[in-house]
Amino acid sequence: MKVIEVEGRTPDDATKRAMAELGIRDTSKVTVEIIDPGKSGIFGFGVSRPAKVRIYYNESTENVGAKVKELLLALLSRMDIEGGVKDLKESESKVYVELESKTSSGLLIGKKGKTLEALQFMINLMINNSTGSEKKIILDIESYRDKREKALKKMSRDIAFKVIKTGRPMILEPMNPFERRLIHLTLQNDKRVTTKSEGQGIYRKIKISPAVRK
Amino acid sequence: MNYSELVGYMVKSLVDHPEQVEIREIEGEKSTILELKVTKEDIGKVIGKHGRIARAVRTIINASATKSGKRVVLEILD
Repeated sequence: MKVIEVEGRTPDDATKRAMAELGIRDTSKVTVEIIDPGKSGIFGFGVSRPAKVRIYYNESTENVGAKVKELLLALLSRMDIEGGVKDLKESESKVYVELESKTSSGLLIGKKGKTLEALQFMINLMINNSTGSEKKIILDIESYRDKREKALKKMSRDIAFKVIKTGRPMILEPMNPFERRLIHLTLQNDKRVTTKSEGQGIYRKIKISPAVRK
Repeated sequence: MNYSELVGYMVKSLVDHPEQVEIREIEGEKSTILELKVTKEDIGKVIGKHGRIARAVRTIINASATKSGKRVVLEILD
């Protein structure tokens, strides 16, 4: 629990400032105690005193998992896509969510997982903004993450094999940092090839080259 | 399918001034154009570093537009 004291022109003003400082918008998440309602001078005469409030902000009672579920369902219904939350595991630093959809799981994953990636990014932003939680939210559906991981490992080995056979470097399609890391790790023990990332930002891709013979 | 509602829902939870978010939907035969207007201070919050947020919003819109077969374009006005 966090407690802060803030001064302002009026108790309301002080509360607003405190909320801005905490970076939260929802007043129902805090308890406000007015220490001093303040006194405004009349037309600049008399003694004016700032109002003072004490704000209790309880982070730990906040159930991030429940909020994640609520936001996801609201988002899915607005996307007009049938789907729900199958499983949700919340730990100290992460919230793992498994989605399900009878008719539209392919749509939720998107080409090369683009939609799932975008949804995950968006949910992380929204949760971060509304609760101030820094937990990382991970979305999955039909164990897509696991399948993609296996597919990437197999693909990188296949391409490494081709590179060794032809002796020519090959460049893979652009991938996100997580996927690139996976490929570097898969091939790091293969002495016959070297891997390197090239390009900038979303266009960054891996180049697999034959190892230089000594 | 109500795209304004979807975009509004996402954008309003990201910006500091949700009451000043304006969305105009221009429906054409083959495509729908969404014009999004936010306050100056909030523009960065809907675009993001290297347009990451804008790209995520567009990807999500396109996923929901797949069924209709229509193209949906999101324009962020400044």
